[in-house]
Amino acid sequence: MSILVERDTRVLVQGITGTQGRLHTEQMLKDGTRIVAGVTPGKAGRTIAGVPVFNSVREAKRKLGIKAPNWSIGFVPAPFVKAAAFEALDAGLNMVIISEHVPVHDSLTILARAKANKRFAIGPNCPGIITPGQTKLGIMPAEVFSRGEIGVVSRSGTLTYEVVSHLSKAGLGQSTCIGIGGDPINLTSLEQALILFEHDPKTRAIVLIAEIGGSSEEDVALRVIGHRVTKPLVAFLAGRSAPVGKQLGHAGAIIEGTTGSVLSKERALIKAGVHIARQPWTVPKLLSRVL
Amino acid sequence: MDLTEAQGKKLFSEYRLPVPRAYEARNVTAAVRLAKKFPRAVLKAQIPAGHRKKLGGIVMVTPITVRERAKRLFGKSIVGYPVSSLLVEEFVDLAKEWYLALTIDRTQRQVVLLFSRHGGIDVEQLAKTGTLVRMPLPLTAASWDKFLRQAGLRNQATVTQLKRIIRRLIKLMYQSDALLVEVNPLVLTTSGKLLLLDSKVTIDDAALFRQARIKVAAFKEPDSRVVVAQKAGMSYVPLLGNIAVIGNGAGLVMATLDALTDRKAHPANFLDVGGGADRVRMTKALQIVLSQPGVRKILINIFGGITRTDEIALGIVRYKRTHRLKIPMVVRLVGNREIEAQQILKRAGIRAYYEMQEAIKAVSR
Repeated sequence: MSILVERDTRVLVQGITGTQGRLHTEQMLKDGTRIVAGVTPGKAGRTIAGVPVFNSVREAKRKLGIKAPNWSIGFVPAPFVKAAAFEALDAGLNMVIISEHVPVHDSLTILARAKANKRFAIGPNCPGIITPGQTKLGIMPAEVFSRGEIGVVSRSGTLTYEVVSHLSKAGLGQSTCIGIGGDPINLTSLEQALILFEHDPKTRAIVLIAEIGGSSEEDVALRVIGHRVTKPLVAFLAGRSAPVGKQLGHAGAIIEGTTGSVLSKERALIKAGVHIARQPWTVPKLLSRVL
Repeated sequence: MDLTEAQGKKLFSEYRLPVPRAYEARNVTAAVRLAKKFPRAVLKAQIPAGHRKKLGGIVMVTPITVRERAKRLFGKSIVGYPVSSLLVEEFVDLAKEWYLALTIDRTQRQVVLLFSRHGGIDVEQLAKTGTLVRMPLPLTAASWDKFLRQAGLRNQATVTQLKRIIRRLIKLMYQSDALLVEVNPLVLTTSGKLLLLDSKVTIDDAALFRQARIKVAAFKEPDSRVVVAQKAGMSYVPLLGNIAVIGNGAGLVMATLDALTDRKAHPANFLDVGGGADRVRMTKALQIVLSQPGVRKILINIFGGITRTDEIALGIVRYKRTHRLKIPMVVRLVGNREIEAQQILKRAGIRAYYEMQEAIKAVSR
């Protein structure tokens, strides 16, 4: 078991003929992902790493019949992400958006579209999602991950690899790792990710990798953790030493006034019974204590 | 990107929103000339900071006092920003000061309308008054009625004006890719007219490609290194310490700064080289962090996913050679092509670490 994606997930790559699309298609295939189609308008008939390319998501769906994709991953420049996401969601697919610098108002309309179509969208500005040993819809180095029973939800890319590498070394494999993204708007919210892990029988505990900015962590601590999510939780929060009012890399990583600081998040999470790791490498120790 | 008050108000005018008559002055002579258009005027320093009144950036003048006051303002620097432009605005006789804003609620993931009858103070103070009314968009007939009830607004003439203002602000927010449109205060004049007395507008940097109208950078970033980094696809923030830090991925770099601070070491900067950095970008990164005075050590922390660590290693070695770098350097490289990377570093006499905690320990020793 896992959340959202597993071995049989049939994947379509939007923007497959671009440099990034091609590179990650090859890598994902190596990592075991079942990529059934690629889409680049005007490039139908080609194949990339053995994957047939279509002009549109609908065309791919129609021509592949029962083998039609149910998830899409987009490697599309930020200005075109909205159109690509609408295309995938309207064709009934779920969607992973890797791209950085997607306008916030575009994210909001994509969110509304996903809700209207009752589909999931993940990202933007994220490394994707991986169910180790089964499938990967993303750009993360698969060799860092290992199969197991820890659910990981993260707002960051490389920091996830760092924490997960310590988990794997300690023998704590992962059920699914989902990068919800470093933007102010996460199309799959922290709350949704936690609830998905709560309902996954394979997941025994959850690791939350968060950073400064916003108040989602405070919010889930108050309303969700301990109520709708009861599995043990360990969190690592980045940006403890961050200055107020400076955006640190991610568009969403900024302390505004008193909102968004690690201290405020930590206080709320501790109150909800979450264990806080002070360093990325202390996550496994805390986790083995609560398992 | 934050617009200046003047730029924000220009945008307001484009949407036919009622603002006081005002002109921008870039020197004392212009300020004097413009202030003569009004019996009483207000000089407002155009700087990207709140609390301008408290900081002396907003002063009332008459045609007689304007020269003296304008001179003093132009010579001033407010919270680090030299005053290079003044908004010369007609003085408004106001009866009431309100707060009105449209912003994006990150947790609820929607645009919200905020209103309070206690305007003129900053929003965090205002939240404490318990008078802040919050309404998610889109506004329906029912939510509009609820809004008016909670806001305690009854005067029909005022409500009609307010409704028109809100409608236009919403249009402005969406069409301009604004993340924040704040009017503080929105004033009711003694003659019963609503005026947007101040403006604070933030435009989404990610949307500037389709906002050609707003392409004038409101405030030039004073640190040229920040601009250079941005152009190369990196993100750089100078800090106050003496250990230069370079890493990949915002989260990992933040965690690196935290781990250093935990060991009482002081990072000199935040620098994320971004995804897929190559040797050229790495060399540029070193150039940027080392141009900051007072740097005594360098810490490089890379977890290669898309980023090829051998490329990073080549960048480091090249920079070290060409600049005869003497400053102690601690390098941690793992992930994509780590074996090749470690060999490259070894040949150049640079010790490479595999574990982040060891690298942190070594550099903060």
